[in-house]
Amino acid sequence: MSTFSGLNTALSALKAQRRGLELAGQNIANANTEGYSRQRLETTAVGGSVPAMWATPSPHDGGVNVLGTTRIRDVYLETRGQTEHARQALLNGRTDVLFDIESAFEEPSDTGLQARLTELWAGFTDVADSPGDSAARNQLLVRAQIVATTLNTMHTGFANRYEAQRTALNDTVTDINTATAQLADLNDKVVKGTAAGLDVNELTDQRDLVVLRLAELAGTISTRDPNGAVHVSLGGAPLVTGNTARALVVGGSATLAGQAGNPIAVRFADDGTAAPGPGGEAGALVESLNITLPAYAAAMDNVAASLTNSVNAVQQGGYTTTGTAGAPFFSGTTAGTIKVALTNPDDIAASANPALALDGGNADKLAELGRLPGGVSEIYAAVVARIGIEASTAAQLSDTQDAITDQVDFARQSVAGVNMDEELTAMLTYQRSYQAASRVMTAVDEALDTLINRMGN
Amino acid sequence: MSFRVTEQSMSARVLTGLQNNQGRLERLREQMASGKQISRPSDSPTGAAAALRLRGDIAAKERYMRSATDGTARLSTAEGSLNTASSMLNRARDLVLQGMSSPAVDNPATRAAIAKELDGLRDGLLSVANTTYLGRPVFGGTTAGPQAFDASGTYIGDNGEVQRRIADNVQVRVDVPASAFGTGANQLFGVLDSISANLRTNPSAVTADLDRLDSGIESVNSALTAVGTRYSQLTAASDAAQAQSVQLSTDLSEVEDIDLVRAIIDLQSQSVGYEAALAATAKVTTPSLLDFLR
Repeated sequence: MSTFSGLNTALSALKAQRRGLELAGQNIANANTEGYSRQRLETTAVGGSVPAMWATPSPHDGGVNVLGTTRIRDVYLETRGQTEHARQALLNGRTDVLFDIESAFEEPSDTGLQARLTELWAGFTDVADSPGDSAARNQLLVRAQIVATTLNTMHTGFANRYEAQRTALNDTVTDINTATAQLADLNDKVVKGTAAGLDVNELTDQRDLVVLRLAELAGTISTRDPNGAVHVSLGGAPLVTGNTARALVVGGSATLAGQAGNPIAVRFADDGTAAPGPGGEAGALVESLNITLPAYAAAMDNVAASLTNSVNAVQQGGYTTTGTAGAPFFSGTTAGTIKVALTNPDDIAASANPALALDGGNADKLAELGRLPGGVSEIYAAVVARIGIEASTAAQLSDTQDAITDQVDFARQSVAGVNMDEELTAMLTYQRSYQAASRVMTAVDEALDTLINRMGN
Repeated sequence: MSFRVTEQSMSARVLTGLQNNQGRLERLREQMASGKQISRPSDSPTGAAAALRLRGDIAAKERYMRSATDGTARLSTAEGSLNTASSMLNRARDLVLQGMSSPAVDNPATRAAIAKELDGLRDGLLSVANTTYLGRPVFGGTTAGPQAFDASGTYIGDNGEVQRRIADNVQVRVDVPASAFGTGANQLFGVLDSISANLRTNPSAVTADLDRLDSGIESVNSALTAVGTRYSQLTAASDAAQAQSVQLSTDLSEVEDIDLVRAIIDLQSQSVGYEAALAATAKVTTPSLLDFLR
C-alpha cells in the first residue's frame, strides 16, 4: 500500500462521480428527444484481483473504474415495436384508402347515385302516365343524363385516386430509399466507431429511429450483426446489408385503365426483381392500387353495364311515338363511358304497341326495372354495403392495432425513457458522492500533513 | 413487475386518452349537428343498406300515390261525363215516350219539335263523349287525336288502354272504353239519329229504337258502376301507399336518424368525462421531485 493510494482512490471517485453527473445531465437534456435511450454509467470497484502466483497483490489499493456508458433498451421490445409499427402503418393506410373510396359514394344521401336512379325510375313512371307529354319525356332524358354523369364522375374519381396514390407510392419509395441510404451510412459509422472503442450510443439511437421508420414505410424486418451493424430485409430479400443499401423503384401502369395489363410492382433497382410483398405504408398503397381501387371501379362498371343492358333490352322491346321499335337508350357498358344515346325525347319507347302511339305500357316496364330483384338498384346497394363493411372492418382493425402499438410503445418508453425523478435522484447521489470523495481527499491530505509536517516537531 | 413510468410515456398516454375522448365527443357532435347516425356506409353497413332499400321503397310508394292521384282525377272526369250523359239519356227517353204517346203521336208538328230537341241532346251527348283530360279525350283510348268521336258519331279513337300502376303488382285501367256509349247497332249516337228520323217520318219504328236506347242507357250505367269501382280501388290504393310511405319513413328515420334524447345524454356524459379527464391530467402531470427539492 503506497502512501498516496488514498488520494488516488479519492481522485478516481471524483472522476467517476463527475462522469455520472454529466450523464444525468445528458439524460435530462434528451428527455424529450425522439428515439433517445437513457444511459447508465457502468462502474466497477478497483481491487480484489485474483491472487496470482509469484505476486502479492496489494489488498488495499482501490478506487472506482468507469467501464463506459450503457444504452438501456430492450431488443425484444424494439423488434416488436418495429413489427407493430409496420402493421399499424399498413392498417392505417388501408383504412385511409377505404374511407377515401367510401366518400366517392356519397351514400346514404339525397344526392348520391341511388337518389339519381330513383329519380330516373320516377321519370319513367311520369312518361308511362302521360306518354304524350313532351315535358315528361324531356325531363326523363335529363334525369338519365344526370345518372350517366354521376357514374362518369364516380369513375373519374376512382381514376384520380389511382393517379394520386401512384404518386404517393413514388414518394414513399423515395422516402424508403433515403432511409436505407441513411441506415447504411449509420451502420458504417457505428461499426467503425465500435471497432475504435468510441461511444456510439447516440448514433445507435439515431439508427434505431431509421430502422423503425423503415418498418413503418415498407414493413421491413431487421437483424443484428455481431459487429454492430443492423441488416434490414424486405420480405426475405436483403435491403440493407451492413453499409450497402439497395434502391427500390416503382413499376406499373400510371393510369387506372392500364392497371389490369400492367400491375403496380415495387422492384429492386439493381436486378429488377420484384420486392416480395412490401408492408407498411408502401404495402397499403400497393394493395389499394392493385386490388381495392380496380375492384370498386369494376363494381361500378358492373352497375353501369346492368343499367345499360336492362334499360336497353326493355327500350328495344317497345315502340316510339312513330311506331318504330326503340333504339338503345344508353350507350357504353362501363361507368366511365356510359352516356344517354337518345337525343330526341320522342324516341323513348314508351309504347308497348306499335299501333298505339301514346301507350305507356313499355315506359311502365322501364319504371319497374327500379324494383327488379337483382336489378341496378340492388347491385348498387350491394356495392355500397360492401364498401361500408370493408371500411368499418378496416377501421376496427386499425383501432385495435393502434391500442397494441401504443401498448408496445409504452413498454419501450418504460424501458428506454428518461424518468426525471430517477435522474434527479441519480444527480443527488452523484453530487453527494462527489462531496464525500472530496471529503476523503481532504482527510487523506490532513493525514499526510500530520505525517509530513507535524511528525517529529 | 411494475412498469417504469416516464414523463414521456405518461404524457403520451394521457394524450392518447384525451384524444380518444375528444374523438368520441366530436363524433357525437357530428351526429347531433347532422341529425343522422349514419352519414357514411361504414357507420353501419347493414343500416346503410337498409336505408338505401327504404329510400327506394319510399320513392316507389310516392310514385304510386302520384299515379293514383292522376288516375282518380282522370276517372272523376270520366265519371262526371257519364253522369251528365246518363241524365241526358233519361231526358231523351222521356222525350221518346212522349213522342210515342198521344197526343204527340198523332201530331207530326209536335213529333218534329221533339225530334229537334232530341237532335240537341244528341249533340250534347257527343260533346260529353269528347270530354278531355289534360288535352286527351277520356273515352278515346290512347289516341293522339283531340276527339274520341267525330261529328257523325263514329268512333275515331283507338282501342288502347290507359293503365296506372298503383301498387307493386297492381295496375288499374283509368280510361273508359268507347263501348260505354253502346256498340254496333246500339251505339247511342246512331240510335238517337234513328229515333229523330223515325219520329219525323215513321213513328211506328220508334218502339224498336226505344229498346236500343234502353240498351245504350244500360251501357252508360254499367260503365258508371265500373268507374265507381275503379275509383274506390284507386283511392284505397293511394291511402295504402300513403300509409306505407309514412311507415317506411318512420323505419328510415329509425335506421338513419339519431335518438335525440339519447344523443344529448351521451353528449353530456361524454363532455363531463372529458372535463374530468382534463382536470385529472392537469393535477397528475405537474408534480415531480423537482417541486420538492431545494
